[in-house]
Amino acid sequence: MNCQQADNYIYEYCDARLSPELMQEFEEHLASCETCTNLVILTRFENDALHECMETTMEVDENFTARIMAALPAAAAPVLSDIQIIKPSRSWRPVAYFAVVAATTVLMFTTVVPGLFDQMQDKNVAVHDSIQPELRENASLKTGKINEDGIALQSAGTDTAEKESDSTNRNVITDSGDSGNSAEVIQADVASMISENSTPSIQIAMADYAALKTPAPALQRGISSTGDQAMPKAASVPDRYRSYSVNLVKPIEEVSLVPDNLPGNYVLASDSEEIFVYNDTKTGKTVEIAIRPYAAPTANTMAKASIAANEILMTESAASAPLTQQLEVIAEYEESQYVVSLESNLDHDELLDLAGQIKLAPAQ
Amino acid sequence: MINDELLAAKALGGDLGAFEELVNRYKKSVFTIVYRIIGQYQEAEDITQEVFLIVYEKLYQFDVGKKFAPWIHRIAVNTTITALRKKKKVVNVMFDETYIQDNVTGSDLDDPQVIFERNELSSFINEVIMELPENYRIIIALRYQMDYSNGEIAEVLGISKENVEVKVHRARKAMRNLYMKKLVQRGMPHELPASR
Repeated sequence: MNCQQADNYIYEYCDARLSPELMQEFEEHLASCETCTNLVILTRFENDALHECMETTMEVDENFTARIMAALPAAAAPVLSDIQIIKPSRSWRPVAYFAVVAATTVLMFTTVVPGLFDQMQDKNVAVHDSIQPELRENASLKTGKINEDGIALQSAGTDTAEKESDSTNRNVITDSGDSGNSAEVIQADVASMISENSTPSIQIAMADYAALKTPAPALQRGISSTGDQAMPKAASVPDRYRSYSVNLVKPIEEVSLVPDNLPGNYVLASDSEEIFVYNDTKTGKTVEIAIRPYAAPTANTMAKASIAANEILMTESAASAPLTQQLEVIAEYEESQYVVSLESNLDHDELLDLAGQIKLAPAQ
Repeated sequence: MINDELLAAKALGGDLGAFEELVNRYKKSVFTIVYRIIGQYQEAEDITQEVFLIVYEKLYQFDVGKKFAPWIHRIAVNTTITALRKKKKVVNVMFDETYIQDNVTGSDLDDPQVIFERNELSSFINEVIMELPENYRIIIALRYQMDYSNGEIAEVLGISKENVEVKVHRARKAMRNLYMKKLVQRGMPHELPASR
């Protein structure tokens, strides 16, 4: 290497960006050239000054932050303030809020539902024939807000969903184990629960979610558990197990679940005040709908929930089980906050349809 | 103290207080980057404001598993360069050769002496950078402030990695020549410090 070549490499050398081979050649030249050695010293001296200069930050106007904050409303709001669909299989974004809800649901499944599937395999509970619309595209759900008639979802800025007829809203689900003679469990008339002046909002988070391994305690009709601790531990659950839960802040006894418009093949297998279990008579799949109070998460629980959710997903991934979707819907009206959690291996769209068809009603 | 990434997550959830804290933490560094490239205070402040609005809009794209600082600084660089292009300024990183005629020869350095302290040189360099043409400032800011690799600089400027080496070389030479001239103009000998 001669002086001209050394000059070409001097900045890369001083920035430690030369390849080992060129570095060696360069240093061999320096050993025999005082001029280039002096230039290297100068360059390093400049480097130090340059970095020192670059580390010096400059002051902005003292009102700068206030101007930024004042300008924010004109900018687009973060997505999660409206609707956010998260697919952790593509990106593990620890959205704390979602994580809490997801972990809550996971906790419920791992502690509350064991053994359910086995118990329900042979259940045959009929749903009222008049309320068996097929799963269909539900525009109000896809767009994400509550309408005044219930937990229908539509996005901010869209019109309210059309009000459903009374006949549709008053669905009676009977226990087909008694050939439909025994009673209705739930009745849908959500309009009576939601004040006309309420302006509820909804957030949705969705996660790919593999099959749960630990479901179904004895969620027999008549069981009146008041919390997770009341739920029996469970054995195993089929990969295609599904569960639906609704978490409420209103006293449990005041609110009930209306799986309005669920497909006809979903029949009630068992229920308690909090949890309703359905069995798909065609496919053998199970659906669980639970109602529990929802408590606002703290920072600590958010962190723990995030870890729990990740662990579950990683476990499922390792087991190469079919991916399951998890859908969380948080709704507010009056002073109550609701979390609707759905876990399933259904397609996103199908799951969204199902979520829009689950409604709340006053307990009878 | 809550880390930047958690603040970003909170801001993403609609917590404006968290976003305000992020603004307070990063306004100086973002402004400094923008100013070093733009070279005009008021314009730099306007672009800095634009940077934070873009950050707010794109928070959902931020991966909270990664560091927030490089993410926002990259937005600052890209926004500034976009602003330059909007002004129809040519940001092609072509250099004026008059800046890089080598005024420092080996003979100048045969008898090195300590002629100024580092902070003096630092002060000179700060002054000189702002007098350099825009294209030189961009290269120097990306390399020595952002500490970007040649590949990253190439990506931002749309040039090849090999070209980046040449541009860095020329920008540094231009910077040296300019401060040497200033030293001479101020009657200071421009000789090399004997030791560091």
